[in-house]
Amino acid sequence: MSKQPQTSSLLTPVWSRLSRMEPIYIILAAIVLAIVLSNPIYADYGPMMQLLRRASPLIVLAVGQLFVIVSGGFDLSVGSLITFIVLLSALVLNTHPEQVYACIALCLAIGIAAGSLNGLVVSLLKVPSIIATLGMLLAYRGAGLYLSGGSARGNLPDTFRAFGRETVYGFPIALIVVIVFGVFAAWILHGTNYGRQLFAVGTNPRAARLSGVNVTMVRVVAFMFSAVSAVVAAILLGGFSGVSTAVGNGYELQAISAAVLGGAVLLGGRGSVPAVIAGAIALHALFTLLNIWGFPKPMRDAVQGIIIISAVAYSAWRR
Amino acid sequence: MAGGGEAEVNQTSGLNGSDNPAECNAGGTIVQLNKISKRYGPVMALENVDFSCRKGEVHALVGENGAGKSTLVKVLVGAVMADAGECTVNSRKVVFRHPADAQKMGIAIVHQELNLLPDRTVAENIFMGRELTRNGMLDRRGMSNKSKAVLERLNLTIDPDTSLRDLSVAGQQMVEIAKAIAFDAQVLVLDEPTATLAADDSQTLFDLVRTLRERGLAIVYISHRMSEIFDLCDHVTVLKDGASVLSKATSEISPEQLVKAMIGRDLEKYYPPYGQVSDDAPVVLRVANGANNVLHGINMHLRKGEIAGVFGLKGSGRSELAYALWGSPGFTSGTVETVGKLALDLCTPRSAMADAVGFVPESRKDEGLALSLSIADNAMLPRRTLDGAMRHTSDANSQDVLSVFKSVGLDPADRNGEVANLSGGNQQKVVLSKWLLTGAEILVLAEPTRGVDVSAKAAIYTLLRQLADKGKSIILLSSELPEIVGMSDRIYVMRGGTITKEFARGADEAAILMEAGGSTSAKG
Repeated sequence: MSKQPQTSSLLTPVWSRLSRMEPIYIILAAIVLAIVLSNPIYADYGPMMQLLRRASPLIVLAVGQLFVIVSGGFDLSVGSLITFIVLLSALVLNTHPEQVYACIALCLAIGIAAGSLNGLVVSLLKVPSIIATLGMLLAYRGAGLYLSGGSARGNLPDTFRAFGRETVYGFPIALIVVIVFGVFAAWILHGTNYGRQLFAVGTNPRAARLSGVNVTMVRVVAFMFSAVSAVVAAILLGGFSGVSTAVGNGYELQAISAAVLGGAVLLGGRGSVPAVIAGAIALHALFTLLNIWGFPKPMRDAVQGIIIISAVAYSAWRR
Repeated sequence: MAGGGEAEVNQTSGLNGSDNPAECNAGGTIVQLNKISKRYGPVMALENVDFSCRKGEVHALVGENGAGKSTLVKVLVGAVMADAGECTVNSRKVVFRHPADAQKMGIAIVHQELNLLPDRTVAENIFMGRELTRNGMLDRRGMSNKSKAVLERLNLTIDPDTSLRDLSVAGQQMVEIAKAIAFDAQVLVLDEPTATLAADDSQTLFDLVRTLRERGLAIVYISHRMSEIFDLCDHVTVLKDGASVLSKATSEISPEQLVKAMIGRDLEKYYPPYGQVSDDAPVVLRVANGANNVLHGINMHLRKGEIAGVFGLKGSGRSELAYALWGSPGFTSGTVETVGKLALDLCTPRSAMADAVGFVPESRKDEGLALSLSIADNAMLPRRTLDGAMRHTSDANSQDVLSVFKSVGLDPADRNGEVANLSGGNQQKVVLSKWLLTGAEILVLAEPTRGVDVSAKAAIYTLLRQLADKGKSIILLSSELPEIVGMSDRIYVMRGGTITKEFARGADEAAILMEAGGSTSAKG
């Protein structure tokens, strides 16, 4: 039973506390330390905030993804939903630049609808989520390109881009969005009866159903949460990256990687919001580190692949 | 299992040699385990246990869950190494470091869960991992012929070329046994072989075991069922708390003595006394002409404070009735009336919960619990569901939650631990707590003591009677007849999807079995 190595009695409490801690916090600290050592400018407030702001879409997306992963599924559609939302907003706001808030409301409504659609297809048509959301990935990608005629068109007004670009009193608005979203998500997942139901559904859907849980509703809400997180991420990304047809590319896999790094278990039933936020920051910080070290950009993907496998292997080994 | 094709063929032909009973030194000891001890952390799983398997003998190994049966079997088949003690096979001292070592010495095991490939043929399954080859190609005809010979020697009429999927569960089990002994087995371990079989199919299994005994195999037979132990087995060894407490010929002891050795006390105290429900106690549940695609003409009622038993064999509709009372799936016609009001809508678990019904499903692990979640999260799931999803999580530390845990005999201090770490009996108490926490007045319990060891069973029986005495009303659906008779104030018997007869408390077991359409040979 006891896997702890023999240590002196003095070290035991420290060791047991360390071994119980989610490893992602240690990984995150190590990566940040490596960044600061490689380029001391990152120890300053400004560059550090810049790094966190760049990480903010991924944080939001990973937290949304966590809900679906805890329910026992995947949401692969978020990356191209981001692209779709950015392209659509650019088109809408190009003709009505004053309607920024109406446009954001429209995007959130699209997110809710898209998430419900994913959830209903998975729950009622019994299509495995990996296939259902892969299909939606292609559908949104096609729809986005069709809308924009194949290339990025239109412009995002400054009011819209403020969410990703601006600061208040030197603090990035994007991070305020992340904090609000993160606290809300943590409360839903860890503080409400819905959260307990979601963990139950992800662990044993049949037992959950026989305990009176409305499994379909619980799953649909999880997918809605993920899609809405994609819309929020799209607004942030549109803010600092502008309009492009590749803006959301690869984000679905980054979100899953970040969630797995944060200790979420891929078959459902385990995961926590703070750890996944740390996972998302760690993944983004790692990309930054590779950049500082002069790794070419395609290496990111290779590193990310190895990270996913290592994180899942680690969690399998730890159980 | 590894090895060249040539060696495998020789092994197969060895089957014919070992097959001749005349060569057997009948009654000779094949495997002898001496003073085996095994410790898991602080738990002494086995302590100085002696065990032997003799040629042509069926040796029953019994004991409560956790008594050490599975550890002893694992030592025997080489799946774990003992800390102390020795093992001899045919008087030669051996050490098994791996199951393959034991297999080479002719010790085979058939696990409770079958390890077969459903889409392959019988022959392919028998030769799985040791396929015959000819000129580097699979020798299908050779495998088919040899499988046919093996099956025929076991008096089994199974075509080796049928897909395994097309066989019944019993047929698949026969194939598993044939596979286990096809290559020079001297000792065959059967781990609760009848647990997954219907009564009729069990008979085929018993015939096969007898055939094997005549052929001189030593058989280790693990079972909980008294009738099998006394009808089939020659010798019985009882393990309790890791020690061997009794080892005798079955002809020398009575079932009562055996049970006493297993649980360490008399059986009379096993079931609590019946309840004191008068005939004019209010009816809290009434089903009239309930029917769905399996059930028809279900008429039953339940009085306040009563335990009503429903007995039925496999396929009688007993399982379906339990689900129907829980609305998953419910009745499609007829009426269901619960206390004071007409509840025509037992159509989802949620509506049943709203009518103060609670449900303990048949399969604790698949349907009752989310195993990797905590005890509190499992027990509180229905209450939290009733409270509403967007409410702040109801407190698992409140006094009423703690007192429910205490009342069922769970230590409230463990409430944040994983439910997977509990014993079967305590897990079942967690499932029961769910409905005490929602304040259910009517409890529908399907096989509430399945896979629970004997003393935990007694604790659950006592608990159920206490609940009934406090005014809860209980429907107990079970395929274990002694449990039905021992616990029920009234007994319904099911056959062919409907309730065929009602018996009074303490009715004769044989009469109930006859009514249920089972064979007259009583199950343990």
